Amino acid sequence: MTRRFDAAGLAAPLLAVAAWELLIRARVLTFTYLPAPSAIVAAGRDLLLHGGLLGALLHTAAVTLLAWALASAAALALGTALGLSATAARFSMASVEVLRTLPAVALVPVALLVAGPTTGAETMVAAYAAAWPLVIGVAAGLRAAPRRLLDVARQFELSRTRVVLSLLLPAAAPLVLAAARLSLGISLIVVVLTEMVGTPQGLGAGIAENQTALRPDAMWVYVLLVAALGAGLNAVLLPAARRAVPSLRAGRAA
Amino acid sequence: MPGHAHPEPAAPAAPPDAAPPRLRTEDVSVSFTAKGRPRPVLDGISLTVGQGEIVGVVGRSGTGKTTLLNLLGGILRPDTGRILLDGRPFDRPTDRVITVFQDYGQALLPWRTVRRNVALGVERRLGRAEVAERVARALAMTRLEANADDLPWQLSGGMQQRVQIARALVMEPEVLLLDEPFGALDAMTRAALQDDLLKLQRATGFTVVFITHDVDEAVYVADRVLVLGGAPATVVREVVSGLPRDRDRLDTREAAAFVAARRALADELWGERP
Ligand SMILES: Nc1ncnc2c1ncn2[C@@H]1O[C@H](COP(=O)(O)OP(=O)(O)OP(=O)(O)O)[C@@H](O)[C@H]1O
Ligand SMILES: [Mg+2]
Repeated sequence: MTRRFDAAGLAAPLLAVAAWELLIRARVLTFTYLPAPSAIVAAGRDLLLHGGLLGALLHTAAVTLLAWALASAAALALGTALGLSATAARFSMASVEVLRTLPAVALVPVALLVAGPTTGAETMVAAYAAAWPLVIGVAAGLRAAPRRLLDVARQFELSRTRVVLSLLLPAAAPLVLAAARLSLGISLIVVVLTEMVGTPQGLGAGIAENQTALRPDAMWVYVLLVAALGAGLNAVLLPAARRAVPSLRAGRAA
Repeated sequence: MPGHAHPEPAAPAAPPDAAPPRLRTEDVSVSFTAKGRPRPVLDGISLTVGQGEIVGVVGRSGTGKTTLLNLLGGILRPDTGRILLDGRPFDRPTDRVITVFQDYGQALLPWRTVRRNVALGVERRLGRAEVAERVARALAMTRLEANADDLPWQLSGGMQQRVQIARALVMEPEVLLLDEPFGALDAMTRAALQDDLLKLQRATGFTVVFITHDVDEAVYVADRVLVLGGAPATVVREVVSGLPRDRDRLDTREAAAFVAARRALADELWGERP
């Protein structure tokens, strides 16, 4: 499963942008705060040179990745416990369901109150929100691993650790990867949201400040950059995961 | 009850019990719990498999063949009775008795190359050189050298099952247990693998217990075929194939011993019941 942009895939958005530009120049579209693409590009160049655009991008990217990494570590541990132990699952699945369905955005003001408008607050909420899909994904992946593998493990007298690391987690990897992508997306959403409502840093802050300043062209620059960051992180991490985990290359689910 | 008196097939009547016993079960019983109630599956099974003997197990679906094989492999413990390997009781898996599972698609690790699949049981126990040497030998015995670096799903079903057999051989077992090993394969592949198994057995002398649904396969491959039947199951019949070890596929099908053994099994499995 290789994914590449091809010319046909790029043609549609390019045409849409061209149409957008033309419609505004022809004064067919006349919203006060809808800038033409050319105006957005100009604002982007300006922000890049004088407005700390790169710093904002790096901040959001770094916090997103940090929150996601923390979430992954915690989720791998919790998900493994839930996936392997029926007892652990029985005692905690109800709590997991409640915690998981609580919309993390509701916790943004709470975190801002507790930790102040800081990077720590962003990381905390984003990591919390990003962990749940992975907890569920790891647990479900482990439970869906072929039971036969356990017979194989017993036959060859493999240690418990080896069963988990060499048989079950690799077998669960495709499901875990799907959950990890979801969780990365959630991490980015929550980081940007926290920046918008609380912390004066990053791309989210850029969006919110330029909204208040009635600078739609600059605001669009930040919005598009958030989109690009999401796509970019996915584009970098997916092939990296495939390269690092052989069971993702196995051509079919284990 | 199916056990009415059949004449033994026209063949040397005595099982080849000249060989000293390798595996024995003594009065083993197993029951599972189904819907909260115990459901006896095997009832007081006592059987002996001699060193180097090839024993086939047939029986209707759900009688408990796999359960019996799991007992012999130490994968399952009996509720009562015991299993002896060379006269010593054992109730957990050992390198000396290795099971080849029916579903190679689930039993192999799809993300590991053939070579690394075969190494699974020895990779942490032996030095690298010895692992490589044993794996190479097992791959040669199963004619898989050319596929050592392929992934299992890139191979045909017959080759995948050979990978599983190689993974067993690498342990240098004394007993090989096979659960419907060729059941999912086409007739040609199945015939080739039956001959492969016979050849491997002649080369290394291991003991074989295999389950099959195919009466012809049972008689052609085995020295002795056990029929499991009843609920809970017991060994209701034992048929000695009486074929020479050095058997040939084409001659065998017409040999009187083959025809008689096959008839006896067919009667037992599908014959009219009193
Ligand atoms: N783990 C288990 N828990 C409960 N019941 C089981 C279990 N394993 C097997 N059984 C039951 O025991 C009986 C014997 O099963 P077994 O798999 O040994 O049959 P089999 O002869 O191998 O059948 P088949 O030819 O279809 O493979 C079946 O009725 C099955 O439903
Ligand atoms: Mg079975």
